[in-house]
Amino acid sequence: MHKEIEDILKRAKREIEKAKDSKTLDALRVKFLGRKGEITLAFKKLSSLSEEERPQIGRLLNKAKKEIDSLLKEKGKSFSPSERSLYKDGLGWLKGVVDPSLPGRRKIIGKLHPITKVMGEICSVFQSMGFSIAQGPEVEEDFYNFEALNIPPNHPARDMQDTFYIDDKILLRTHTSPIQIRTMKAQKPPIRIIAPGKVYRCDSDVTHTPMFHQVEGLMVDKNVSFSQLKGTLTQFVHKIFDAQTKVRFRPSYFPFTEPSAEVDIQCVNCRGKGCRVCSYTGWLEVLGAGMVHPAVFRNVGYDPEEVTGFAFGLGVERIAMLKYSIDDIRLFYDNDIRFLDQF
Amino acid sequence: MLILTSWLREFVRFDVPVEQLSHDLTMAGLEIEGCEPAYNDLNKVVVGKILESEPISEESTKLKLCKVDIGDKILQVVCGAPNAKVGIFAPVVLDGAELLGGKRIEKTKIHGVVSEAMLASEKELCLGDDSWGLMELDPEKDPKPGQLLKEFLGLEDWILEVSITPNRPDCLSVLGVAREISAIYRLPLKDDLYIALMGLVMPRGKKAEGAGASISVKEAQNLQEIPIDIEIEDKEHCFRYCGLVLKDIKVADSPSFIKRRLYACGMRPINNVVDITNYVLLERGQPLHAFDLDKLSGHKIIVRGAREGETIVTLDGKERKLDAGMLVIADAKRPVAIAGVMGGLDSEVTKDTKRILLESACFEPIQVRITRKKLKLNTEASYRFERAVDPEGVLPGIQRAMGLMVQHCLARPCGPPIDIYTNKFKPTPITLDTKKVNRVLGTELSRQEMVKFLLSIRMGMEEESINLDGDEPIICYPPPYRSDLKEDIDLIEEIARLYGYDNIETTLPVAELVPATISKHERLIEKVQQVLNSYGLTEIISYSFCSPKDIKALGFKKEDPRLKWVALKNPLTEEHSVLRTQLISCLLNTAAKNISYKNLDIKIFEIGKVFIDQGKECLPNEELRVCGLMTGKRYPISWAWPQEEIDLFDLKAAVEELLDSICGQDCWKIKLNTMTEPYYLSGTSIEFFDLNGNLIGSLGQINPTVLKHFDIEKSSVFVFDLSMSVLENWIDRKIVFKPIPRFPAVERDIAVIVDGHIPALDLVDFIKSNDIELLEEICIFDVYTGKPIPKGKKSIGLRFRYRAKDHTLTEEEINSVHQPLVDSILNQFKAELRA
Repeated sequence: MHKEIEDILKRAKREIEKAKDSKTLDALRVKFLGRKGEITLAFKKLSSLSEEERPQIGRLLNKAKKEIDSLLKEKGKSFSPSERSLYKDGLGWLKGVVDPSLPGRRKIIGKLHPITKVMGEICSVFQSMGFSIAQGPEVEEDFYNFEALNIPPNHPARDMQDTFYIDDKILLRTHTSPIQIRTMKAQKPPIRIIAPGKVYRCDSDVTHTPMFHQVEGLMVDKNVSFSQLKGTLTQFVHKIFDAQTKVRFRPSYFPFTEPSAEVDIQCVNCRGKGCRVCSYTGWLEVLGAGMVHPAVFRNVGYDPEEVTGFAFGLGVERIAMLKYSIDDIRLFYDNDIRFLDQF
Repeated sequence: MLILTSWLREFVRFDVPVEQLSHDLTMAGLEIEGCEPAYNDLNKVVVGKILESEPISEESTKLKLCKVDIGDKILQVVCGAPNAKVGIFAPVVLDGAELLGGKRIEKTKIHGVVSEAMLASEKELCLGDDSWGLMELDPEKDPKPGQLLKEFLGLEDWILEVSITPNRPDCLSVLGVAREISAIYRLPLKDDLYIALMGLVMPRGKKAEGAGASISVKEAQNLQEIPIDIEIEDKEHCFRYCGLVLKDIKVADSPSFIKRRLYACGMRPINNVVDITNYVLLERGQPLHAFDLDKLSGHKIIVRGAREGETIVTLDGKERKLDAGMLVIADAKRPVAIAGVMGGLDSEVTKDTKRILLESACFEPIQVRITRKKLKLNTEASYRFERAVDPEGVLPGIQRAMGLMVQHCLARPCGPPIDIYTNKFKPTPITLDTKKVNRVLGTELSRQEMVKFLLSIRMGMEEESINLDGDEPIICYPPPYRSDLKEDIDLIEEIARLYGYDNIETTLPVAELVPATISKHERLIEKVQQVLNSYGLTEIISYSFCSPKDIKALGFKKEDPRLKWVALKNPLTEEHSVLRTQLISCLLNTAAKNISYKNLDIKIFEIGKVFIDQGKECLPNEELRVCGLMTGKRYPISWAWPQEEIDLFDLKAAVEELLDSICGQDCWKIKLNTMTEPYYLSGTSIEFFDLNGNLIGSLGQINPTVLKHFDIEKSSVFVFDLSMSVLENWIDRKIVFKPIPRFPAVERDIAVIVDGHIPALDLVDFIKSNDIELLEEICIFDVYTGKPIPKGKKSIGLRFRYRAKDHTLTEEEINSVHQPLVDSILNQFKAELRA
């Protein structure tokens, strides 16, 4: 064993002496000190030695290892300064070892559908104001979709919405407003909810798809006022677009709210100067809103003299189209990957 | 609805530019959707001066060849007007012009002579009714050749497109919009005909009531020159019926002012009688109908329900079957009009008509709506009736038409109108609490301000209500045309819109600081989206509709609930005729579409509801599911790795990660089952279960028959389909921290050769079933078939990791566990150790 170690040491000294560049030195380090290097292998043989021999040989091996290591380091210093500085500064593309200009190993991360993204943004604005999310069925009873919302059979307002029917009493909800009714029937005021979801109308062209998404909001409490409705929706518009976006409320009609309002925002494309997007009016209609109609309160067993409330609804596609300058609503449901990848 | 500003000015003398008017009407609730200049038909009509005028030939002395100066050039025009003399100024219609009614003027040849334009009379331009000769332009007013005629004449008018909400039928007329303008600007309204209840301030106790004719029906009947009998049988659906007989009618073209206005408002002129009824409809919102009196059998009119089997040929020439109960206007024998919807062809006014019966009535809205929906007939009249027509407007309507007919059809009335007013209008008082107004709106309006707004819309109010101060309620009587004003909230809205929504202060709600709750449902959806996105799957949203063919193509067994779809009564297309019962077909369709777009590498998922029918008149069962699909290349093309096709395990990785992160590691199970979904390729699918044994869903490769149905020409398409409701049970699982081990682990690798059909899962399950405390983890690190492994066999590489909680393991300890375990594996699976 003694001899073996001496032999290794001798060979190492000779070969290190002969080395001409740092690459050879690296190889020698592996040859003697690496995981399967000669010294390492010699260490492994220790277990087969007797109790007396083991510590002695062990010390010798350690000594040899240290010596080879220092020889390697010493020799390394003797090489030209330019090569040494190269080592210090890294392997670099100069030596053709690594080409950092190559693109990284990118695996594709999936994207959320733009409607999901925008709906999430809308919901989080209201959630931060203490509105909780409520859900309801997409296939609804006529009662919840129309009657309870103050739209009796044969009301002209039914023409405002082309309804998909399953049978005389069951239909695909035409708005998320039935969730208002379901929520109010299930709990007592105060109420602060938003109801996002799919809605359906039998209409299909550049600006209409038979299925689209709405977010409905409802706040009911003592002394909720129209002035507060204006404040809440103005905040919302400022968060979703920006704080400079002007908002205007103008009278309109929904059977389940009164006073009712259409909410317009200053055109996000032309900043109100007038362009194709806003049909040269400077304004874009984005929300419908109003004070909950007393008839709706009576339908759910609330006393309209006791509580007041406001409700609003908005089309998610509309907001998404404005945010991302999308000009054809049908793109959302075509699910072309080249479209979806952009969000 | 289209409306002319010049027409509005006949009722209210507003003095603002049209842009301002549009804005103010919009902000008061009458949205102006468009505003276009009128007289666009005169855009190519200019002032011309005749420089020369010679007969075109010796034979034809009537036709003259004129040289006309139009400023920038001189045109050669052939003209037959007697007054086409040198020196006069007249309108020139240029080549390419399209006159009112659609007549195109082009360069042409007359008797072999080129005529480059047309010299026009006022009738040809629909600016007057004189057709004798050219319209001579007053030289005193300094006409300039080439100047646009409408500029020279100072013709300025605007067509407003007004969008009227269903609650405001009173605004479906010039008069109605004029009333609004008068309210907004507080200007007087000029309407000589309307006498009922206008802005009345009543002494307390006096009842407001509709006016009606000044004489009784009987007296009116007796005064008729030509006897006529009018009767309302169905009083429930006809509130008022007013008839007037006119004789000596001369049916002809309408005067140009009527034609021009009808055209501007989107109607086609027919003849003076019909045009006047339409004119009054547009002007006053009162639908009228003229019957040819001589075609009415028995000079009798009965307003009654249609009888079983009765039919009528309507003005549009179509024969219509009437349901019993539809309201009709009948003569002694048969229906002659569908009440409020359309007249009959038999009693139509024609050029030979001499005597007419003019009808002005008020029908019950719902009846009209049901009838017109059943007959699929939508007319200007039915549109107004089904939204409510002012019962007090019936008489003014007929009077206005009578005036126009006397003037323009040379008609003579045969007596006073016979006015049967069975259901006289009585306004219902509304009590308005002034404090409530401010509470609902969040304003601080004074009582005087509220009264001012109410008076501007001609609200009847009791005198004391107006003069009182303080918090006493105001008692209001809405005008008869405002059928939408029924309770206090309606008046609050009126006050709000007249005050201006923009003037209401913007404040934020004050409420208890209750935090919003975020439900399990929402948290689950967010988690699923996160995990699937991170595994490269992009979210899609497809329609909830699908085609029954697509569902059937998936091959479900007869009793499978997914064959119980909900069908739409009125689908848009067959492709979208039922609600989806699963998401697979939606994903396959989306994949097929993308492949057709040459997007060949597809990794997509959808979270959406599926609908299972629960029988008649029941809501279907709605279940939320998540479904994913992968096909194409594993990674985008790159220098960094070879181009490899996706396989089952790419998709399975995503599902495993999903289940680990929702249910927890080792808290779900898989099962190999040849009987899973029929759309999978046999033997490629597995099912996932939760710890309670509930089926979460499945994963597999789509079989070729299904792919063919969806026109997908690829072979390797993988999908998974999971139930969100089962996953929802686990989203709130408690996470308990496990201490990080302090002692080192020891790993042992073996490779065993087993029969090719033995699932690796069986080996792992078997090893786990031995319940060895020291065995921390078992992992399959290699699977190999091929040389030197014998045919029909495979080699499975297993790595065992052993660790003890409280000490470093010794060789002996490990061996004492590992060796017997290896032996039992070999024994159990008749396996060999690979050398």
